[in-house]
Amino acid sequence: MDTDPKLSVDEVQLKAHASNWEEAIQVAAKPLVDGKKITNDYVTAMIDSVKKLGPYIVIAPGLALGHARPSEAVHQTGFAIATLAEPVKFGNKDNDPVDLVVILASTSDTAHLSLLQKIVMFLNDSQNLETLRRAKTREDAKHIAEQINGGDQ
Amino acid sequence: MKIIAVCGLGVGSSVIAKMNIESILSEEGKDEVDVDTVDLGSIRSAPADIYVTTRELFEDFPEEDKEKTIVLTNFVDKNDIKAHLDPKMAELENK
Repeated sequence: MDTDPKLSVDEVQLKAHASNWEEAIQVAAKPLVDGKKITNDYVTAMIDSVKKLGPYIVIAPGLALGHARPSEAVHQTGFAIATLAEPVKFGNKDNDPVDLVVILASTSDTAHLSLLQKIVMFLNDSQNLETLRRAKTREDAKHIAEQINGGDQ
Repeated sequence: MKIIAVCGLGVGSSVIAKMNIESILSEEGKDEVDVDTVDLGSIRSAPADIYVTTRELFEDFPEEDKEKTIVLTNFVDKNDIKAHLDPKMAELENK
C-alpha cells in the first residue's frame, strides 16, 4: 500500500540529456524504474499513449506530463521530474519545445492525488518554474524536492 | 453548473486542470460549481455545462459539444485558465 508518496532527490534530474521525446520520457522515468516503483512496461505505456492520443501531454509551454493509466506496471505511486539540457519536440503546436518532463505513475485513480496537488501548486508559480529550469546541482534538486514535498497548506 | 476537464486518460492532465479550476472557483467564491474529470472516450456519458480540454483532443470532440468547450494551451497557469473560464461562465449565467 502507498503511504503518502513523496518526491525523493534522486527523482529530480537536472539538465538531463535526451535527443528526442521518447528518450526524454525514458530518461525522466529512469529513477522510478531504478527504484522499482515502475517497470519498463509502464515507460512503454507512456510512450504508446502519446503515439495513440497525440502530444496533448505537453500541458504548458515546455512542460510535458508523461503518464499512463494505473496498472500492474506500477508497484508504488511516484513522480519524477527532469529538466532537459537540450529541449526536444513532442509535436505539440502550442507548447513545443519541451525542456521539462514530469512523470506521474499511480497505483490507482486516487493514490497520486495528494502529491499531484503539491506538484501543481509548485508549477502554478512561474517563479518556481524559472528556478527549476535554472537549477543545476544536486543541492538544487534537494531544495526543489523539499519544496514540493512541503507544499501542504 | 458542472464543468468537466477532459484528457486522454482521465488521470493526469485533466486532474491538474480540475485542481486549478477548483482553486480559481474557490477564490471567486463559486464553491457550488461541480468540477469533474473524464477521458475523451467517456465524454458522451458525462454531460456538462462546460468542457475544458487541449487543442489536440478538441479536434476529436463530438461536434455537438464543441460549442460548450474551452480549449486551453496551458493547464498550469491559473491566470490563463481564468481568462478563458470566466467569460464562458458569464455567458452561461446570463442565458
